[in-house]
Amino acid sequence: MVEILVYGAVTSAIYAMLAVGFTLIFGVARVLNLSHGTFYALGAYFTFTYNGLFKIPLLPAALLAIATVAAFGVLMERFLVRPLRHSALAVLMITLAVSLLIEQVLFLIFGSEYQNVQSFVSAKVVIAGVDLGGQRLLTLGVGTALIAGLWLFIQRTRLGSAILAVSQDPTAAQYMGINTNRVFSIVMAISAALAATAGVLVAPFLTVQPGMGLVPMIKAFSIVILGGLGSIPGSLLAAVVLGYSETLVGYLISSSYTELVSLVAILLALILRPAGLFGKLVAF
Amino acid sequence: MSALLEVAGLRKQFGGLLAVKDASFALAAGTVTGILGPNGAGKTTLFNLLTGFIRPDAGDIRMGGASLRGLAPHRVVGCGIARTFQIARPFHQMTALENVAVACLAPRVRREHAGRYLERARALLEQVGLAAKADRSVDVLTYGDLRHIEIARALAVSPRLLLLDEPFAGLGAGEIQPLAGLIGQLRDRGISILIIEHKLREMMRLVDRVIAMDFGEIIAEGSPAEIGRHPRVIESYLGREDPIDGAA
Amino acid sequence: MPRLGRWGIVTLALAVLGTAPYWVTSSYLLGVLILCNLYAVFASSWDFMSGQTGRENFGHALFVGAGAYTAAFLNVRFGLSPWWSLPAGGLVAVLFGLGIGLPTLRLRGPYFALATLAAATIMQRLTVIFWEQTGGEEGLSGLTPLLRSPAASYYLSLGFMLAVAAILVALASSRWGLLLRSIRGDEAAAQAAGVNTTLHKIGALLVSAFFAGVGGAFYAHYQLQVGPTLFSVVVSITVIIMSYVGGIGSVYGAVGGAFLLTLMTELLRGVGQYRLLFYTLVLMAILFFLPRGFIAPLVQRLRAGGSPS
Repeated sequence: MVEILVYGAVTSAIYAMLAVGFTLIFGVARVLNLSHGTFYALGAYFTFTYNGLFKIPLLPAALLAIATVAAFGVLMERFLVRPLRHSALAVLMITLAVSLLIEQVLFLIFGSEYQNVQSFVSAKVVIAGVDLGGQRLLTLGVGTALIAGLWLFIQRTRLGSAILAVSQDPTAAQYMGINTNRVFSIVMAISAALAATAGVLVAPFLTVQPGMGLVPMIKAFSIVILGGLGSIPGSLLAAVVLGYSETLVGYLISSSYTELVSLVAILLALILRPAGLFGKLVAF
Repeated sequence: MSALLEVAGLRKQFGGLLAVKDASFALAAGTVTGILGPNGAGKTTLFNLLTGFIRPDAGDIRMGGASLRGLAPHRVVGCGIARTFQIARPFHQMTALENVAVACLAPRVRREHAGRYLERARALLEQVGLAAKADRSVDVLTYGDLRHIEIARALAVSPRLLLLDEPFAGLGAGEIQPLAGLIGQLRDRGISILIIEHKLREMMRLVDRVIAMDFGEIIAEGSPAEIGRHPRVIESYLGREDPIDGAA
Repeated sequence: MPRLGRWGIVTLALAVLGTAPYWVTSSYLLGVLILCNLYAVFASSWDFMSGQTGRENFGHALFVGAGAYTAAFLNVRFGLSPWWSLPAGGLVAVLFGLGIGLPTLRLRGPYFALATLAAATIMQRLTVIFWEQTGGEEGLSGLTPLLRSPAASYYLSLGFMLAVAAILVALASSRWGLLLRSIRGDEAAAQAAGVNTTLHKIGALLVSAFFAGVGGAFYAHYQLQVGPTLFSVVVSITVIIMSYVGGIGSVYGAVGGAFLLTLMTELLRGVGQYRLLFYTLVLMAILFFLPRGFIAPLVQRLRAGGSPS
């Protein structure tokens, strides 16, 4: 029982990080970033490279990995996405192309075998008589802290207000002197950093292979659609719903059915609530 | 004359913004009615509600006794209501002829004209003065031409009621009179017209009746002369800083 | 530059393709041409939906895989003759199309694109999860071919491709095609012109799904095996790239793009693993520099014979 609670929370935290990043860049810049899963994978791979190959200590390696991915995200947005913003579908295409490109590059460099990334916390923690991996708890803790931090940042700081303003009306925000391009870059960096952090945290206990980002990203879609495209609270709620549903299905039925849960979630979301729980309706 | 369209208690809210509040009015057949109001008064939202692009939160729209509420846009067209958009929306990468031909294929008119939809499209383009440019791609036509295509497209579905959203916006001095003339002809043919327009002079000369809106509410209804003198209407215009060209 | 005219090009191409078994020396290369034909069907069926209506399907592999696995089940599990697979594959793909199209095509926004991407990926995962029924990663093998001789198979594939292309061109040039293109032109304006956009989008998707499904079944009976990679993003994006190279919205462009890319891949045999990398770079280049594609504009210039249009 405690296991379900904690594992469900861990899964929810991972999904929340992925989903919030995805919905953030969409809500603010109207960019559906199909490379989002790739940022997740790159977080894991860069950590492996910096720590495993360059022998940098684990924590700095992880932070460096996150920073690298954030920078990559900003560059991608600036040079590949921004010129194509006039067409929502061209943006989908280019981000998908980038993700495929990266996946291929990863495959060519590292091959398809699973890589090993060291755990941050190798200690096991015992709660209520149940053995829980420290790494998983760390994931839960960091995930929660980051999202709470993000929420505070958006609500309390000037930059956060600027981000909110751009997400509501980019043109009006420009009239008020906000540099929308800079906001896009910042949001992209945050989004990529969140995804990369998720990748870094799960790398020790989930499989690290070039295609690792695709399915988590699809799950992020279903969460974001359920919670409403562009709504952070919605994504959080939906992430918890999906995370726990998967954990429950995994424990009660079979672990191979967890993907079905995502499928059902997406279809339900699309059929029942196109605007999601809290989301903004896409205007024509 | 019996009412062609009856609107009762229409209401629409977007998050914190009440865009249209308790709109009620009736349009008589064969009349030209103008909708007046500063930017943000809810005029285009009203059009979107009438044509099925947005669902009302409350209220009803009735035509010939049947309710139009909740109908999809193409169904509303099937009932005989056509519209133009505030900013011209042509079908890109298609010719002017094709743009109008699509509308000629609408279920409402398709059977009646059998296979001759292309000829009909050409005739409609001629009516708006674009016969010579029929085979040009809309992507190379002028904005004024695009406005005319909008009107031809709206006429193609044989509407009983035509909703024009700022038809004179973007037209040069030489183009306003012909369009006003066309609108008059349409009225004489029995088509009822509802116009949103900022160019007050043109509109006041064209319409039989005016509905004035402000902040989502209908604040006055009457003849052009009455509305021109109405204190609340004057206040709604003078008390605001509206951009002169009426661009939204 | 000689004036070829559109019919000139088509005739030339037909002459070359029609006589292929006689001048193509290796049976391997003939096999490549068969693949060209099949990919031409996949690409043109994708283009019919996404090029005409402008709503881009990011999971066309769903239909290809559905057709292929249907073929495998009917043939390997139930022992039916491979000729049943073709219509069955098409039908199953249509069912998948309904499943995806009905909930998502009536919505504005990116839901259709996301849902198609998700659906194909999820199917890929499901075939692995339910490995007992589907053969898992290894898939199913031991399908019987439609025709035994390579030349006969080639002509069958050519005939199939030409039939599909002809049907799609006819549909695209019809009144229905006009309505579909108006959806691409401006969907809201199309609705205002009385077009039931949701219905027509679903219709286009079902046509697209049908031919992709039949093509998938054909592919299964050519490769004689099926696997989960048939549902992969790679397949979906390959089809999209082929259509982009050919020029979105043009059936013969999609066919041309399929031939061009498939043949180029073979020429770059030595590149092997870098194939997908190359494809992806091509796509990115096209998105930036040639948004109208490469083949359709080229053909238009040949038609004009270099004279100002």
